[in-house]
Amino acid sequence: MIDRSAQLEIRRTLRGLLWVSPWIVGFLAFLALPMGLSLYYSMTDYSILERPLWVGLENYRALWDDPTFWKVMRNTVVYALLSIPLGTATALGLALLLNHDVRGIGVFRTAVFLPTFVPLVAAAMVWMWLFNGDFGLVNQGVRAALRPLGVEFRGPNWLDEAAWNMPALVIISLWMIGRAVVIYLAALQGVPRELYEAGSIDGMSPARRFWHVTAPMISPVILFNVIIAIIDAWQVFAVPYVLTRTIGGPDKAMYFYTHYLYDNAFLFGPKMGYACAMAWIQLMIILGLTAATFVVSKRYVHYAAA
Amino acid sequence: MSERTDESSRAWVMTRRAAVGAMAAAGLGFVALGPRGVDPRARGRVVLNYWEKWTGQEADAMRRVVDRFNDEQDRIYVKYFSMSFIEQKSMIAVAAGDPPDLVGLGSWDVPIFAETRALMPLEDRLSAAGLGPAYYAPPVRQLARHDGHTWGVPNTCSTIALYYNRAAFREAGLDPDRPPRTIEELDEYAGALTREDASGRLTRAGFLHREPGWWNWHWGYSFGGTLLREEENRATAASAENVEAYRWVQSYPAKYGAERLTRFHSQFRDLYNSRQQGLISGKVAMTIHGPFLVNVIRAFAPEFDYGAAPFPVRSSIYDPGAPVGMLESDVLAIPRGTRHPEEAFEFLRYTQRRDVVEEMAVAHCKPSPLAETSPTFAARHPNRYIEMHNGIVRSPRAFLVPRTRIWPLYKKEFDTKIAPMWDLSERAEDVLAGIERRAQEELDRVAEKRALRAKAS
Repeated sequence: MIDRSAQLEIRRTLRGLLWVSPWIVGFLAFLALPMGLSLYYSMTDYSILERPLWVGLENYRALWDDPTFWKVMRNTVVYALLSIPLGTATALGLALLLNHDVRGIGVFRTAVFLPTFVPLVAAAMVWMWLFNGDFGLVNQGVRAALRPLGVEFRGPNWLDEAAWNMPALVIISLWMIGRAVVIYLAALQGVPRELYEAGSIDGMSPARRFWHVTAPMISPVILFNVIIAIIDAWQVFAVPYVLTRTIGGPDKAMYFYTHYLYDNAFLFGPKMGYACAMAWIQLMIILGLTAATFVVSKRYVHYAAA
Repeated sequence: MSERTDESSRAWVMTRRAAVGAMAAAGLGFVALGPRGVDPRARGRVVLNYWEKWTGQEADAMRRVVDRFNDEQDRIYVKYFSMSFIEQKSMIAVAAGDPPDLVGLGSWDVPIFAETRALMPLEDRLSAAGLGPAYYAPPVRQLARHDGHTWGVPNTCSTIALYYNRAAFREAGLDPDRPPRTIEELDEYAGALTREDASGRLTRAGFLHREPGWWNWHWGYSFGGTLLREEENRATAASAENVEAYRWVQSYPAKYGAERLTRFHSQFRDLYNSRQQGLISGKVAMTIHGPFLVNVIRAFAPEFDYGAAPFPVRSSIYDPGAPVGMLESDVLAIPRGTRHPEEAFEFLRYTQRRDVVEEMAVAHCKPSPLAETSPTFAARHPNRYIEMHNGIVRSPRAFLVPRTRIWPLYKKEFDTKIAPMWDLSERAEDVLAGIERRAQEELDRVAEKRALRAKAS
């Protein structure tokens, strides 16, 4: 015999579940089920159009022996190693500059944030011309700047020489850091002013004030942005895809993990099972890096409320 | 206090009214001005969804055919949809059990769709409709065939050839009516046509292998090579003929400077549909291209004096009666699982009428895939060298993209590895050996899985 209060509790729970059911159904149908299926497909030979053929761990073994897999892995790691620290430092630096109450600051803030509104494909098309080796504005601009110094600068062939592909892409990634800047800016404005005042009274230099007040106070936000940057770097796709006209660059220099995964899933055969195996490895890498970042962050991240 | 509450709730009521009013106005506007769901002509008819890859004037040409078909009878209504990445979308639609009724693929897509039985085999229906193999030019017959069946019909086809700037020929003292026929002559002409300014910067390339860069894989065919021995399932990228061909490709950056050529090419690369296209803008004097280039010439530089000829081949295999050239086509097919196969075939048959095929060929500026063309076809055609293209279509040495489902991967290897060959950082034979190895591994994998599937079923 269930007493009245228990009945009420069950009814409330059911009502609650009913209200969140759209999310539960969405989660099960569009995330949990596809993830489960992709794990299964990663152990099959599956071309979308034919029945999956069970192959066990063969796809994972084949990836180990696939030189293109290691090439895209290397490209993605190098891109992450360059773009994450540079992007974090640049975004934080810009946020510090934009945190000053000077005339026209709104214009500067808008200018920094504006690139995030530009669709990635359109941005890539514009950068394709900016980086043109012969008449691109990047080379022309540097050439014009160096000419008065007596330096005749030719400029690299950014998108046609394998060695210059990665720097070009990292520069583009720096152009698109507006969202991180805004998040840093919001965090900076939340740092209590009395801490700065106390620092000033103690005679702290601006650098010490940054390291001992600003950085600890916004460290949770830095952690958040770094994790987002890790995920973004591992999923880089649209810009290099368009810049290289879907090819992946000279000698696969701009061929990244997600692009190769996509090619396997929809182009090469297609090899959806192989692509699913790649997707699971990618997920494990991102989860591993995120977990490692959290572990390391324990030493450096300061939660003011704690 | 109570006054303020009344004031704020009145303001809230007004806001709600305004919101409801705005939504009602938007709804009415959508009903009045929004997209029409059904064309009145479609009422009471079987509606076919036709997915096609063309855009722009190529799509317009097919839309005219579709409109005429819809007007000429009252049983079937064809809805035309233009889309990118059509092979991927079609594949997913077939797998999901909701395919279009008709799909326009490339002939290079046929192997994967055929081997997975994603299309309906059509040979019986085609023969009954008088569209058997004899209806098409001999090499064209292979384009929609795979695994012993015919999976579609070629609704337009194309070959590639050498296009050149006749004015540049005259300026260089070359006879514009005597284009190069052999690779040796091509090199000679390219040398005579190349120009540079006083500072050593190129102003015109005689010939540039990487313009337009769409067929990086095909140079070996001009030397008698192939990329696949189909009957043995064997990749042949590293054959002696292919190695010789790619050494020839490398001879240009070796002679003119890789960095110089690449930088020069970046001035007009990817500017196909414009006045800045390499040949039209005078940046290159000779280029490899399809007949459809003439549509670009007509649109942007009608005064441009162009010439065209079969692409030169190594002198030892030169035969004026049997030109060498790539042949490909668009293939109209009926996906597996379509709800209206009979009606879809009726439209497909309509597109194969000679007048319709030739109308499309003229609009797309391509040769005819049919065995016989009407007497006025060449006269109506905007490309004055269309008979030369027709000659390649009918040539016993016309070659097709290798008929294998691994072709996208094979092609990508060429597209990515052309750069280290071009900048001379890798030897042609090493690159080709690597491509062959990769392609062979994939061919073996696919064959093994096909055998396992056959065994399992």
